[in-house]
Amino acid sequence: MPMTDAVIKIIAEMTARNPEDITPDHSIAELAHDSIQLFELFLRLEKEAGGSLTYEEVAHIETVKDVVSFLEARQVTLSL
Amino acid sequence: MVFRTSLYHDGVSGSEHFHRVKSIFGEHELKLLLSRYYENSSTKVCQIMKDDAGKPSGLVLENGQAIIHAVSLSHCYPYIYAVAAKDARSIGCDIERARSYTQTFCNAFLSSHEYHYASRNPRGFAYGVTLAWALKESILKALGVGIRLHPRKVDVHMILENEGLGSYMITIDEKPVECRVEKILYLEGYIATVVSLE
Repeated sequence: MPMTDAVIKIIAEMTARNPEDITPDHSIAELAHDSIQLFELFLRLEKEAGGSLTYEEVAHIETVKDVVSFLEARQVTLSL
Repeated sequence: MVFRTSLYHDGVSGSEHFHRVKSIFGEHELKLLLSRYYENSSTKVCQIMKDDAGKPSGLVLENGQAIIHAVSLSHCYPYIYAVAAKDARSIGCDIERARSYTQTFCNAFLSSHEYHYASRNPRGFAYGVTLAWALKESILKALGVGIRLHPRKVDVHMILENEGLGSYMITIDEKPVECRVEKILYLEGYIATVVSLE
């Protein structure tokens, strides 16, 4: 699965949204319904990245496409 | 510390609409709070500014003099909770919905001490965990970093143990910090907190 689709799939699952409604330009913080959900999303991305990212690295990412760029730059494979 | 809070309940919008307009509504609430400090003043302009990390502050121009106020804002559908302090000390607020939590989530942000005291909350486990989260996020907002810093790095077990307003010596990233719990508000299914930092 392409990285963008994989990231959108995770975010859609965590925020109970339709994947088709999520675009690469969406802000991660805006997609989460509240900060607890945002934290759970950060934890999930951290976990999916298999420990190659720290929480603080993930939590500084702003948009969906930033997540994709960050993971690709680190050559991370999501374990979906 | 002199501060004012506002709790706005949006009983009209659905959650999706709420998420689109919450920032506008929140800024409006903060401006209203600030303007109430200057009700007898002839000229005032209130603006909400944000620093590079997104931490808001309130600017009031009164007779050409700029006055900075500490402000904080939190949203949790259908509520918007706003706080504005009389001075520029660091302040943070949070409002959260109490819900059922997984053990994984609790373990991710609570220490064993915090978990112990959250479990003993007289309103129940969900309220105890929600209170812990709201306190940590309020403190992180007062610091100006929000949850970009891992909430587990903020130790609030002493506040949870006493569950009262007042001053506490807590640790943030293992460094001692004096924190004051200004307000804990229990609503049906929600908790709101306000804290300030020395």
